[in-house]
Amino acid sequence: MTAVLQKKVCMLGGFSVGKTSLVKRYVHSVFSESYLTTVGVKIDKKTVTLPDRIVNLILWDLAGEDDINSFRMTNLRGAAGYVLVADGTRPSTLDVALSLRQRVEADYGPLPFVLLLNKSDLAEQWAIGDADVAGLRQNGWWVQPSSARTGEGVDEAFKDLAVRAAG
Amino acid sequence: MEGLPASLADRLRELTYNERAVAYLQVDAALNLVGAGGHLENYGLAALRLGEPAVEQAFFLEGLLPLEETPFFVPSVELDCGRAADLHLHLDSGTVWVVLLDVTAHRDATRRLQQKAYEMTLLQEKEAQLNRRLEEMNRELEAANDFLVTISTKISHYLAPQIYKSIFSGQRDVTIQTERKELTIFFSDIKDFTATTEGLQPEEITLLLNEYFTEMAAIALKHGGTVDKFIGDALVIFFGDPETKGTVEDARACLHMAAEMQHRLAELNVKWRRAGTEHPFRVRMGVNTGFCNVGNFGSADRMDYTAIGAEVNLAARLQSIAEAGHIVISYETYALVRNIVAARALPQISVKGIKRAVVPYVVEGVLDEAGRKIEIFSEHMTGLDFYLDPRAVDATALERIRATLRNAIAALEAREDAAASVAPPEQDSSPSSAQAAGPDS
Repeated sequence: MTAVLQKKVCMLGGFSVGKTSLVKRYVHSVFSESYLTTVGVKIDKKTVTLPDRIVNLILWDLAGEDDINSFRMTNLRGAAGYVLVADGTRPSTLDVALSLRQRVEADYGPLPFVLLLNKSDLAEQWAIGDADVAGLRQNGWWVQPSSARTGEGVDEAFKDLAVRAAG
Repeated sequence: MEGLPASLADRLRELTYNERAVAYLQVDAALNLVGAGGHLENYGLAALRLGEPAVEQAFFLEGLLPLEETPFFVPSVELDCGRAADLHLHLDSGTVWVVLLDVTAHRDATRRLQQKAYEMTLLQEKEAQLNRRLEEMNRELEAANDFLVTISTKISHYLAPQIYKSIFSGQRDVTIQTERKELTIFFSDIKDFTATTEGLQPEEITLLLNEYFTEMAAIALKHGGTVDKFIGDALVIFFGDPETKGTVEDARACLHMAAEMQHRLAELNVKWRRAGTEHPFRVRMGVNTGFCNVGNFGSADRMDYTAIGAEVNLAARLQSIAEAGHIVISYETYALVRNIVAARALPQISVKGIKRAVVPYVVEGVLDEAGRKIEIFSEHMTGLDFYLDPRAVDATALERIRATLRNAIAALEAREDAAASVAPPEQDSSPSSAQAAGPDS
């Protein structure tokens, strides 16, 4: 019988970058244009089938904070990895994501993570340069554009994270 | 609750239990679910199996067990069923107790407030971003505009100012299109240009011609003429398109322009001669008025704004029969300008394409606004530098000038007498009298 693992994964990023939409796209394969801000945390489960095992990802979709200092770091307790999300049309959200990563690392050590530059479907408003992305990848990070609207990069990101989080 | 009366404590307990839908889970040290109770169905936790792993049945506990910190609190957790609960965990004698308190209403109220605040922030961000983009576009537009201004300024030098103006103001469409209009056409060329400029370096000729054309074009523009083209040393100007003051005024403007050109040319000749240019420019001018086709001729890729027709050719022909320094105009032009010029009819000529007999008139003088004939006397050759503008002469110098001229004539006559005594008398056809480049010459 294939072993079933269960791993807690947190969604992290500034507000309105699309964390909830990415989870909805990933778990329910739907996308909604309307914006509904998350309060506290919303918990979802998604089963990922890997070649040698099955992983239940318990997705903690954490509210994006206006002020990252008010972010509750204790919500990451027990997380096996996290998805950092920035909005590719708002460069300031990349700064938020990067400082969140620093805080997580300071409190919990180097956890596996992926960095999604979301809303890649809004190409005309895209505001993050290729050079910046290349610079981030030089750290050995998994950085990809994604779109909860089209689904681009979504499954790959979660699957990659599931593999690494499951060890 | 000790400080409260028993009835109140009971009531509060009842209120909390029901209003906050209190439910609990009990997890043992082996992380198995060993107890559960309260409003479990409110959180979608009705079908629990005691004795089995807790995190498999209540997956929101994943990562929280075993409890590292007690008590531990996770506020506002939205569960699968859509309800939001505050999760309170604490450890008591090896057992982890999980208490769920419903905060859905509170969560919804917070969300409404938070949503408004975020939407406001997003709008501000968007506004700032739009402003930055606008500024960027403005800068790009300004740069593009500067480029266009530079280019159009360069292009403008290849066009008559009126044409440039009418194209760039959007009045004129740049398409192959012509119309029939009554124009006064002016032709001029430099008599014996090749002989005149013989011995000059090409650079010197270029300088002379450019100065001559620059000065003439400025005069044309001042009188409202459209400089059609420069052909070698010839100049073509017309009046009546794209701007017209009416046929009569256009013709008059053309004659005033021609007269001013002659005066300016006399001044230029003085200057050039002083600078060492031996032969002066002697210019012939022809003017005609008639209906022409005017507009853009050529191909869609390369067009010229010009005027064509037999009346244009006639102007060229009149120029060709003019003496150096003279203006010859057609009867049609003369009829329009007779009250501002003194002119004499020449024998009639025939011109190809023109059915009527053409009577040329040689202009003997153009009158100024006060009706006075404008005269300039100018002659330059070996042994003579002569320029006289009677209007410019100071009244106190008149007698001195007369005396000089009288002495000069006497000296010339004495030379003639001496020559007659050594050679048989012969009529000298070369221009020796005070031939004027002006209209009376």
